[in-house]
Amino acid sequence: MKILSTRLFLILSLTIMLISCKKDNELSKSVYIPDPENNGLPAYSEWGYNTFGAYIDRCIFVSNDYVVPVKVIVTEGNTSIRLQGDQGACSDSDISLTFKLMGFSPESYTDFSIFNDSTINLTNENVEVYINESSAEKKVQVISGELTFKRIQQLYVDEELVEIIASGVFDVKGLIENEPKYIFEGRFDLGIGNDNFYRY
Amino acid sequence: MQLLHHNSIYYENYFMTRLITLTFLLLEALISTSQESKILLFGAEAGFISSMNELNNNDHIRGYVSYPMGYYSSSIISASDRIFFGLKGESIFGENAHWAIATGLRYSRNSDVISDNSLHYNSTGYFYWKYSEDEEKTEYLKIENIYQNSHYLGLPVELKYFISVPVKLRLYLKMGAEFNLLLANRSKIDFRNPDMKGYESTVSDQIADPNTISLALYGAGGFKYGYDDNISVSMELVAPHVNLIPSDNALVKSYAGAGFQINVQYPFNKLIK
Repeated sequence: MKILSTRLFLILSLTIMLISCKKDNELSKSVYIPDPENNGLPAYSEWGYNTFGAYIDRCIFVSNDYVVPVKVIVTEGNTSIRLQGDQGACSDSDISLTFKLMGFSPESYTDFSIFNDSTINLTNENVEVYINESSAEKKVQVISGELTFKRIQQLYVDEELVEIIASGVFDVKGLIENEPKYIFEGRFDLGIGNDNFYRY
Repeated sequence: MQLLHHNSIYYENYFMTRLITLTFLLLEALISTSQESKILLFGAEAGFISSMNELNNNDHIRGYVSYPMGYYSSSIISASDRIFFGLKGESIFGENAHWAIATGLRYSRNSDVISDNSLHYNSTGYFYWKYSEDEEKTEYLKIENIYQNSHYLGLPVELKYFISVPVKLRLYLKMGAEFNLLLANRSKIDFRNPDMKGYESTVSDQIADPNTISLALYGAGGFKYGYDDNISVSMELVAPHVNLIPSDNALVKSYAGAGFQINVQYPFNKLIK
């Protein structure tokens, strides 16, 4: 009887913990608002909807509900902003696009505020772009491209800082293993907080 | 701003005076009609209407975007209900007393509410309200419910057709119109975190008021129990109740609804004796 009570207590505790986690993670969910002008892509927004999207030639590259759309990794004095999603009907495999900012080493996610209303030229020697498809990472030889942070906001909920919202646009024209690729109409609206900011 | 406030008070007073004058003119017309038919009833009414509605496009709610076909990107739901009661005079006329016309004064309280749909698979029990933003900082509040209660004084005009000749139980059909004037409006907010109660006036100020005037048409069908020379009770289903001036600014925009109405009537000549 005691064992049954203990198990019941554990199950109830686990259920309550799961419910609690779900509520705390509300801001991490993606809210997909379709762009009526660019089929298959999310509309540009600045609400922290945790979505991004772009066209890679004729395929779409978009965030989804199952994979964390952005991870920021700070290591060895460099910062990688990795967008991870899928290609819709073009391919079943996951795909990620990484912008690596050499020499930028923020202590905290709030340090991204310095990028507010700024554009990074992707042909700059301190920037590298990678595409990872089917676990094979390939460096993009950038011909032209820009990553623009239109707005970086600090988000407070009930007077507590919970994350920053990075919203902007990007496009990249380049070669991947000598194959020309054009990534265009890129847009993102992403929350970056303790859960997706890694520094080691 | 003060000038605007004075203008608003001026127009409310103006409409109120006109509304009451019009009510008395209509009642006088009823009395003169009844002098020919000899049947004038005085009574009280009460009722309830629940309306189909949608949240007005709101720039403050995170994730609330409507698409065609009534699909929304979030689990937020809204409701719009109103209760009313009033006093009415009714004149019965025509061959075999088949027709009746009624008017009076009606008080209505409209209650709109938005909340997170607890039955939705994505429900959290709250939603985010953006109450402040500048270039670098955006601030949300977690809110469970927002209520907007609006109080109206109205003038109903109703035309009734009795299907049968005068018997104790008579079925009837009715068409009505009502003109309402907004008297007062108040919002109430349930915050997820009770410590945020201090923001209630901030959020309330960000919710626009409903229209100052409203106009609705409605149909109804019901039965009356009792003879015209004594106390009688009637009950009816009101459907549809169509709001002709949906409010584009208030919390909720209600279009059409249905409900019920109860009337208790007594002959006017017995009442004044």
